[in-house]
Amino acid sequence: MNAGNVMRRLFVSAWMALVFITVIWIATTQIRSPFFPPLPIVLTSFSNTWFGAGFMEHVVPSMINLGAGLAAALALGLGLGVALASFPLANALVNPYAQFLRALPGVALLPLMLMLMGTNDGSKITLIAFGALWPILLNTIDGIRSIAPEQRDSARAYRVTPFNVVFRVLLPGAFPRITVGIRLSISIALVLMVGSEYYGATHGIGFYVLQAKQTFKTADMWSGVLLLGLIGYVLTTAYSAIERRILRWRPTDDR
Amino acid sequence: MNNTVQGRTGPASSVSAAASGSAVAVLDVRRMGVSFEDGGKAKEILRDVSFRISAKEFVCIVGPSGAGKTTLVRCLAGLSRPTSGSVLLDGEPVVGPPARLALVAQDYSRSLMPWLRVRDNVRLPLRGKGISAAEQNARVARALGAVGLPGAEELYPRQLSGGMQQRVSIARALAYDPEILIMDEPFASVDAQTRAELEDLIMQLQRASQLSVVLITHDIDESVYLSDRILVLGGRPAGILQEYAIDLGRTRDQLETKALRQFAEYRSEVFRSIQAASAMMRKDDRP
Repeated sequence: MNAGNVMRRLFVSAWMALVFITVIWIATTQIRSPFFPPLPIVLTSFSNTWFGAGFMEHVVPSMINLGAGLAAALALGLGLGVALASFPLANALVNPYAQFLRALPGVALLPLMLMLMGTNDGSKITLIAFGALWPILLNTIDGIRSIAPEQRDSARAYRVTPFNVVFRVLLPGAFPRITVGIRLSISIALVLMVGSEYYGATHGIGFYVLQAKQTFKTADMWSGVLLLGLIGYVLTTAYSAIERRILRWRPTDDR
Repeated sequence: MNNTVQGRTGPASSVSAAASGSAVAVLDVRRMGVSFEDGGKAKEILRDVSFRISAKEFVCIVGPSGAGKTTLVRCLAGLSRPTSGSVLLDGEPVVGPPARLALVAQDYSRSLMPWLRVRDNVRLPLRGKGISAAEQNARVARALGAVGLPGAEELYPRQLSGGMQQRVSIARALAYDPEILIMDEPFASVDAQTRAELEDLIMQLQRASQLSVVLITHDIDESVYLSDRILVLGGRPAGILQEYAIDLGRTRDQLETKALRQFAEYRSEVFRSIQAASAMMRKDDRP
């Protein structure tokens, strides 16, 4: 993509955003619905809450849970993935269960987690990690199996040590698949983060949104929704940049 | 011409080879046989393959396609175990990839790691083996220099042409400091000009070192040009059908050597031998 194209695309998206915001602005100020407060009021609430006390009280705990859950899912998913891909029998035994657990919506386990672990952050992190684990695990296994046998053979012929096989052959070679899992896991983790804050929580962005709704502070509710959207967007965009860097070795046309 | 050392290697010759001592043999293949289970039916690929490679020797193994060259390479490199017989490296049975054996495969794009930079590809076999980082880097730089790729350290394989990728593959083998180098049709996927360059490169490198080279090829000119000895692999199941000592001196030249009358004679002998092998295999394949 050349610079001219980039500029044109930026210009088009800036235009679209501008038009969209204007339409929302006018619509919300005109219709005077209690459910759709005027955009300026939502924005004021947004800056008061999230650039104020709300940041430390709600955003930070949410982000810590999300980060810890995702990190645990990544470590477990990659570790178990390498182990299972190396032992086809173990994989054959475990795979159907992993597929089932992947298909199971993570929020379905929310009541169970509350029962087992209570309403603390540990329970929330466990839920996020559990939901985010499966896409990473299954894609790691698939990715490792998709590495060319010639590449594994050459690692074997040169007696590459196990540590280097895992970190310089298997994981980087499987990364084009692993990254698909990571993207899915980020979305799942975000959903579970919010969901876990809807029940028995005392802080977190999800808690804030629900509480605002229950006290009819719709502008505050919308400001929370807007923040969650932004967090999701920033996370995926930032991850794309990381992914591009890791996949730099690939020719651009099959990325 | 008197360069046919022996005919089909049978039990008798391999026994005599084994009895004659193994002081200079680096690689000693003894009555090796390989069969696979294929749809419940045993398929015999190699039978009674015996040969020895001495230190500093350059041996080419030629044969028609489908003769089991790749199976042979896998057994030499310790990637597969023969069904019968044995492969000895320095007198030790090969039961897995040996430490002082390096392998250069035909398909450089699949044998190099595309996600590692050139430097890391060449360095990968050296890591975690008690070699200091400084020594690793020095060996990588030396090997890349030797194959004519200094300064390519930071590039990814895809940024290099096929011939250059194969040079990286050779550099990886050299940095590993092997005593024997197994090359499986290493120049089959590059253009003719690059091929000639790489042939001269590998010959030069071999002459300048203690390296023994076993090069598998289906190109007869290449085998005559490079070899001290040629082994013809063929038959169903395949074995060593012929062996030729190639006496063209240690220094060779793409134009001059290939213009020699002797070169042409070796060439046609090997050619006839391979033709006979293919004809035999076609006959065997007929239901």
